[in-house]
Amino acid sequence: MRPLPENPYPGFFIDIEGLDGSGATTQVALIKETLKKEGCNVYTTKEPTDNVIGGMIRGALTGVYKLPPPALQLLFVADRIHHLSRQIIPILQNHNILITDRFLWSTIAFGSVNLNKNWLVELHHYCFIPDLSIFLRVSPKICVERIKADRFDFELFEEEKKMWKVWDTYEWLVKKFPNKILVIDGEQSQEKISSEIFKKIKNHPKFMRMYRNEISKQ
Amino acid sequence: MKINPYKGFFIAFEGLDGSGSDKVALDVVKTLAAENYPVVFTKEPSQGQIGRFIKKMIKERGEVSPLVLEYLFAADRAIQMEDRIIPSLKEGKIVISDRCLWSSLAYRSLYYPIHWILEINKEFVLPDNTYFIDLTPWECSKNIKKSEDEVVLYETESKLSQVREGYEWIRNKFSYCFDIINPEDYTDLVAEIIARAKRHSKFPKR
Repeated sequence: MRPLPENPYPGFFIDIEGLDGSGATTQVALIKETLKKEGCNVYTTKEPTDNVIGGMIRGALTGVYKLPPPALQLLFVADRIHHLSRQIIPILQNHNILITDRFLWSTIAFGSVNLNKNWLVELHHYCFIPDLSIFLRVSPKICVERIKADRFDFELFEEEKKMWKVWDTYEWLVKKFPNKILVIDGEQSQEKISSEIFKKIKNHPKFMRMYRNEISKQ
Repeated sequence: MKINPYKGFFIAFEGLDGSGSDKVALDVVKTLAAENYPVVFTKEPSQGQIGRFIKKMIKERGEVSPLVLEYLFAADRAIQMEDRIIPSLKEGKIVISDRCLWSSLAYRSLYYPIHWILEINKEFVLPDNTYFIDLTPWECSKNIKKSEDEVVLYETESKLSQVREGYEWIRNKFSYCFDIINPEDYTDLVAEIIARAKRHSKFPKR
């Protein structure tokens, strides 16, 4: 497997990943607030995006129509490349912090339920990986319970059996990309999780270079 | 890429924008249908949601990211394979496609290594035979300017010449399934396709 390119821009790019129901969306919002309080210029974004391709993806995920697995994942990558050029790269070029709710790891992990994971990695050869990715480790059993309690509609991926496969691929990625993807126990309290994520951010060399002296020692 | 393992026979027509591959393909489809062969026509980009979006992108914006385009074409192709091409081949039909994955290779090789594009497209069924419409970039460029409603990615002679080099590469590498035809005279083509289909080991006898 060829290595994937790294973020070539001065901004700090963070990705929060996990199974559906792992609390990634909540953490993106919490971390944004924490970093703002520290005086950082921070933006957030998510995938799939709100543009046309993102809309086609949501149609498939919510069961409006069916797409063959490779078509769905190729759309995710097309959406991502568009996302990069329209939003991500301009924000990173301007020395900001950008936190995304899902990025390429989601395509590889979720896509691996039906497709070869090495092929899914290879699709991203002209993409780049975030400086820091966090995999919120929550067991599929707990994810399913959370989803049942919270939401009325059950999306495509939200079935426990498939979730175990997705989980396995996340664990595989953590091993394949050490130092790039860090694991945090997502079964703790929200406050505990976000303080652990904040610690990982503060100790990241790129963050330290950007905000030397500015962030209070906690 | 995968060799066609099904009963049916898979033919593609390729060429530069403006070569008229669609006209030749449709002509062949009509002739085969008139002779009562079970025949299905497809084209890239498709008439579906993604195919229409691709055409819209090309039409409305001059500069389309070739990378986004590659993923969209592959997604569109994946849907056609699953929904139309493979089911028709399983039923023993002749599938005629105006453009196929060779177009991705030829057009995107202007920007990305051909091996990477092959990797993206590696799960798709390869046509049993492809006919390349032999028109010079100069003639194609002239045809594009004449017709107003044609949606084309590149129309300049220099860009078309680069695309043609991509096709040359394919032709050398896949010569066993890649033929060149003259758009002025292809009278024997249908007979040849029928003969080839019959030689295809699993094609249903009639």
